Order: sequence, then structure tokens, then C-alpha cells
Amino acid sequence: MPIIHILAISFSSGTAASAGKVLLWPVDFTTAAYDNVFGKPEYLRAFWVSVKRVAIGTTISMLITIVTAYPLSKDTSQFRLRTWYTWVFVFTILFSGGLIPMYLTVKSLGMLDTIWALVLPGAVPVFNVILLLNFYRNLPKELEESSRIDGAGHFTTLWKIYVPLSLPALATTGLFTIVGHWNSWFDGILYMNHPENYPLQTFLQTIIIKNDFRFIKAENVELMIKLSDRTSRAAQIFVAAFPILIVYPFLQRFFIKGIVMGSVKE
Amino acid sequence: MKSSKFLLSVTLILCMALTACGNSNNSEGAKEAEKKPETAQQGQKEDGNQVIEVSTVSPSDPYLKFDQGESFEKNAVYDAYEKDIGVKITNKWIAADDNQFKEKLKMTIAANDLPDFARVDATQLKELTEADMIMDITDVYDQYATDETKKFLTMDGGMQMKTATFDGKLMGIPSSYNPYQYQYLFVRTDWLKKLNLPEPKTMADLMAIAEAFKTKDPGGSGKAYGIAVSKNPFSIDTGVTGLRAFLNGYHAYENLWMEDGNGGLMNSDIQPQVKDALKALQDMFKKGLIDPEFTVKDADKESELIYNNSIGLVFGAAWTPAQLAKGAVVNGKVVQEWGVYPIPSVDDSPTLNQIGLGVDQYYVISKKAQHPEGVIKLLNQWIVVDNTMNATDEQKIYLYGKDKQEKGNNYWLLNPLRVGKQMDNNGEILPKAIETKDPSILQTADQKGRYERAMKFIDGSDINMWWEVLISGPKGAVSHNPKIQQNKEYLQNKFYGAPTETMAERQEILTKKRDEVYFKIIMNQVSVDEFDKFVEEWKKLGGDEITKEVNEWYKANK
Repeated sequence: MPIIHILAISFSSGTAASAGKVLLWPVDFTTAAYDNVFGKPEYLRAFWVSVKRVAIGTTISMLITIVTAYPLSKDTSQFRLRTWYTWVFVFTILFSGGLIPMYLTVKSLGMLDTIWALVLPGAVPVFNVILLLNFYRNLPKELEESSRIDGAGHFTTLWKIYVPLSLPALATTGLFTIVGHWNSWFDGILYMNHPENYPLQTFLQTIIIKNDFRFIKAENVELMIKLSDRTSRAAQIFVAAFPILIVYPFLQRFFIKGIVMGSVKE
Repeated sequence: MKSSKFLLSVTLILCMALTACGNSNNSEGAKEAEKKPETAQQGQKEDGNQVIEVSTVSPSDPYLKFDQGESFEKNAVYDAYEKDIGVKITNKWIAADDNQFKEKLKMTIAANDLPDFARVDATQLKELTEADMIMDITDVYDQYATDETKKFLTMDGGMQMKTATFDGKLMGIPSSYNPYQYQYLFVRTDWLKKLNLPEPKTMADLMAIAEAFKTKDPGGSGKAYGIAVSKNPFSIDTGVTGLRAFLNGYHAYENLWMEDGNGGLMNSDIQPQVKDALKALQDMFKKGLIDPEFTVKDADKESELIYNNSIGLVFGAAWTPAQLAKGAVVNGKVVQEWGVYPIPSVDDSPTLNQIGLGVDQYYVISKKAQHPEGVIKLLNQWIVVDNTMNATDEQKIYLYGKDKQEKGNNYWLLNPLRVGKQMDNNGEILPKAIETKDPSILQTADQKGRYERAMKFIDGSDINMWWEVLISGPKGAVSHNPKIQQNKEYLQNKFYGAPTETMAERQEILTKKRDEVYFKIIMNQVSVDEFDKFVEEWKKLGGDEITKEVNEWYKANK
């Protein structure tokens, strides 16, 4: 419903939208808002940053998740410090350094204003690691043993046996990561020093958040007139939500399968 | 397990401590290193052609549009500064808007990474002063600020400069604006005529009008209300759809420090007059004069009701017509007629408009800055270019960009250091000039701009300029100012120091508590007597402590 409402607003004329006449069907149909959105270089640039971010971020996160979950899923007999390492990971879920130390770290590593500041600080999704780790543990031991007997090392076992078998779980965690990257905006504000490096959601934030009325001074009243172009905002929101709407049903397939698979014990 | 966790936390703490020390050592060294070039520069300055560089941080703006090929790094405004006064401006970072600017600024301060100069708020000014991160600019200001600048910033009698002074040291330049900004009552005059109602002079008139607007529904929208109220009527949205002016009509004020009659100060939020105002609002709510959904609507959302002819009474600042214009001017035609009136009073004594000091932000100069004089030069130049009546082509660049044409792209936002006039006489000049169509009496660039805009509406060339006439015209908002000014029908906040210790800690909670109680009373969820309980609680939750601190400050600064 809210999506339909936004969609209706995005296709309506500005006057109708600001008078609150639009409900579920566009009033005074126009595509002006979309022309405006796609005519904005900033918007497309931000879109591109987001796409890059999702691509790089998801790849890195998934790789790290896989190679971290694998050793942690072994028994202590095979990997003596397993419990200790697991605790180190879990510790980061419970406690974080806080905003400022985080910022200082990113800054001193020279990542400000680069895509890496968006990708690397959250590159290890501990929750996903735990999900996958548990999934690996539930896979039959015999599979691993037989591959070891056939002469496969850890790496071959991981990529040839574990990864293909865990596709449903990977799709699930992958979806989490994609959505997470696509939707996050705060790190963009924090780490990007120039608006041209903003990812899409950060850019949208800046448009949708209202100007603070207290700071409107008598000198800039003209701004007020333009302040609420709701149709263009609605169009931008819709365009931003669209990719996720598209991706979701495709991954949903695995999502359900993953849950079903996990629920059956041998 | 326990020991490993412990080990980890110890390592972490050690790491943090080490990096912290490392940082301060670095900056110490840097300070030493930077001291030298400053003196060297001083000597070279004689030839006058030396371009000095100052760094800053800037907020962008959703409506700031750059000319082709320009950006924050390179644009006509920065070039003009470099050419005209030899100061090159660089940006350490740019935030997308004002809110993000504040977030990032906190980071920058925490990281001890201040640019040469930056705009900070009153709390930060105090903190930075105490942390010894910003420069005492008393001497620099004295030496480099022109007489015009000094006069400009002390037009209000020096109050604003005083707020930036700590122990006799000037620590920042107030980002000043005119504190004498009043609120007004905006009424649909076409409805008044239609229903044959008199103009509102007292609060009783206002109630009668609100009730008529509700019951007779002159806009024909089917669900009319008496008055526009949004979800932040006491704080953020007071400029339009707020209730601050309503309180003022009952001689109650929103978070203001006023004299208690015994030589001390007291907070207005807990005075009995507020109870009267809340009682009145509760009655209005019971009668259905207030939108029952107001607590979830911001000013924009609530304004929809104004645009679609459901509400004809709005309290707001002088610029409110700019908001009303969206509903009043549709497809090149004026479809709603509005009038502006002074805030009515509940009794015989006139309403006092509550006003602040006209400053809540300051430009500070970092201790590490090599060229503090560059900042003062920027200030001088801004005051010159923003206040000339007939701007030359060169000066127009500062406001409109390289093509010197006003095209609504907000180029003036690129000026890194902006201060506004602390006084204006728009109320005396503009209504007269517009009525007689006589531009010769205009005195400032602002007046000229407003006059020209209003004329465009009057001669019919641009109907969209409707709002300017409602602000500046013969019966516009500012036309009421001379009377308010002459009779001193305003009440200025008496506390102008930086937030006190308890205030910094508790004010937010107290304001939240206040809004909650006020809302419950307005919405008739609790009896109006709940206000007395709130007063007790307010005092206990830190209000008494704050009052004590404010009074100590008042004694010291009176």
C-alpha cells in the first residue's frame, strides 16, 4: 500500500500532491518527476556508487563469510583454538569501539572518500558467519571424509563440496548482505567528504529529510516555495526501491528452500 | 573464556590509549612547526599580492545548483574571493545538508581535525574554548576587521559579540541575524468576508472565528478544523503551524528565561500562564477545532489541510506566506486570500512577542590556523558584498555566480562565512514604498529585492510573487513591526550564555517531558491540573538546578 501510494504520488502533478489529493491513483498524470530524476547527474552518480558498493561489498563479504565459517565449523580436535576464535567474533557483536574510534580508524587507514570505507568496516558479517557455520556443521561428516580420502585438501573440499551444498544458505546470507549494503546510508554521511561520493541512500536522505524550519531566515524565503516537491521525492524513492524489489523474488526461491533444508535432519 | 575476554579488552584499551597519545603528540609537533611560517608570512604580507589559503568545511544544500563545470572545489565565488582579497578557500569536507553538517562536525571535533575555520553552535563554542582548540581572536579581529565590519556586528548594542566572549577573550564571530523576528496570525480573509466575521483582535475573536471556520466549513472541504497545529508546535515548527504565538497571546512563553520580579531569572515553561493557554487549547480540541491527528503530522503534512481549504487560521513567522503560497496560488491564479494580523491578546495588556538573541552559531578559528587574518578578510568582504544597495557586476558574482543573473540556484550559499544584519527597518520602509510605488526611499539590497518582487505581483507580471506582498506589502507581515518595536511589545530571552552544565545534560529530557505533558493536556487525555504535577517534576528533574546555574550566570553578567 505505501509503495502504491508513493508510486501514485510520483506520477501526479505537484499541486495535487502537496494538497494531499493523491491516494492510490495518480491525479493529473505526468512523468515530469521521472524526467527530473533521470536528468539529475547527481542522482545517477549516486546510483552508480551504490551499484559498485553492492557488487564489491557483497563479493568481499561472501568470500570472507565462507572462508571464516569453514574452519570455525570444525571440531576442537581438528582446530584447537576454535572456541576462542568464535568468541573473538561474537565479542564484536556485543561490543563495538564506538563511532569515533571507528571514524578515526577509517580515517587513519586513508579510506575516507573511497568506496572501501563503505565496504571494509562491515566486511565480516558475524551473524552470517554463524549462520553458515551452523549450516556447515549440519552437513554429513562422511562427505568431507570421503573427499579427504580422495586426496582433496581443505580448499578443494571447501569449494567443491561445501560451497555447492550450501548454496541455499549462501543465497540467504547473500540477500541479507545485498539489502544491507543497498539500504545503509549512515556510513555514507560519515565517511564521505564530498557529496559526489555518496551512495544512493545517503543522497536520498539529504533530499528527503526536511530542512529545519528554525534556520529559515527571512532572507531565504524563496527556498520555502520549492521546499516540498513531493512528486520528485516520491519518484526517487521508488527508483531506489525498485532494484531490491526485483532482486527479492529471485532470491526468495533459495530463501524458502534454505529454511526447508535446514529444518530436516537426517 | 573469561581471561581471554579480559585479555582482549585490555589490548583494545591499550591500543586506544596509544593511538590517542600518538595523536596529541603529533598535533603538538605540528603546532610548533606551524608557528614559524606564520611569522614569516607576516613579513611577506607587505607586498599585498600574497595569496593566503584558509580551509573550512561546508554544508551543501539540496537547492544549490552549480553552474556548468563548477563545484565546491572550483567555483566563481571562491575565485572572486581569491581575486578580490587574496584569500583562497579550500574545503576539508562537504556535507550534503545542514543536519549532516552537524553530525560530521562532531566527528571532526572529536578527531581533533578542525579546519582553519568552521561554523559551530553555542555548546561547541564553549567546549572548544575549554579544550583550548580554538584561537583567541581578539587581536586578529581588532587589527583586520574594518570599521564597517565592527559597526555591522555591534548594531544590537554588542549583545551578540558578548555571547562569543569568554573572560574578555573573543573566541568566535557570531553568525548573527536579526533577533527582532516576530510572529503573526494569518487568516483567510475571503472566508471572513463570506461568513461576515470581524477581524481578530482578541483571543475571544480568534475562538469565534475558529469555531465558525469549523462548523460552517467555508472551504467546503467537508472536514474543516479551526487552527493549524503540527507535531512540533513548541519547538521546530514554530515558524509555521506552531503554537508559540498562541502561548504568547496568553502571556505564556516557550522555553525562555524571564525576570522573576526579584532580580533573578525564571523559566517560562512552568509559569501559570501556560496552564491557561493549555486549558484554552484543550477546549479547542474538545470542540474539534484542532486536527486530532496533529501529533503525527509535521508542518508540511499539516499544511496539506491548509492547501485543500480545510484550515484558515495559522500562526507563524513573517515568511509563512511562502508556505501558504503553495495552496494560495494555483495555475497562475490566486485562489485563497490571506490577511496578516498581530497576535491577539487574551486580556487588555498587549501580547508580547517572544524573541531570542539572533545568534545560535559562531564561526571559530582553529588554534592551528596559519592565517586567521584571512578569515577576518572573508568576513569583511561578505559584509560589503551582501549589503550594497546597487551591486556592481563584480559583487553580483558572490550572490549569483559567474553569469551574475539571479536564477534561483542559491549561489550565495557558497560564501563560506555569512553574517546577517542584526537590525532592519523593513517594517517602516517597505509597506510605504510598495504602497506609493516609490523605490527612492529604499535603503538596503534586501529591501530593493523585496520591492522588486512585490512589484512583479502588483503589475501582474508574476502572480507567483503573491507571497512577497503578504510579507512586505502595505498590509503585510512586516507592516506590523513598527508598532511592536515602538511599544516594545516583545520579550527577549534574558539568558544568552552557553548552555550551563545541567542544561547541557538535562534540557533535552525536560523538553521531551514538557511536550509530552502539554500534548496530553491538549488532547484531553489528562486534566489540565496535570500541569501542576509537571511543574513539580520539572523542578526535581533538574529544573531547579538549571535555574540556580542560570541565576549565577545572570548575577555575573548583568
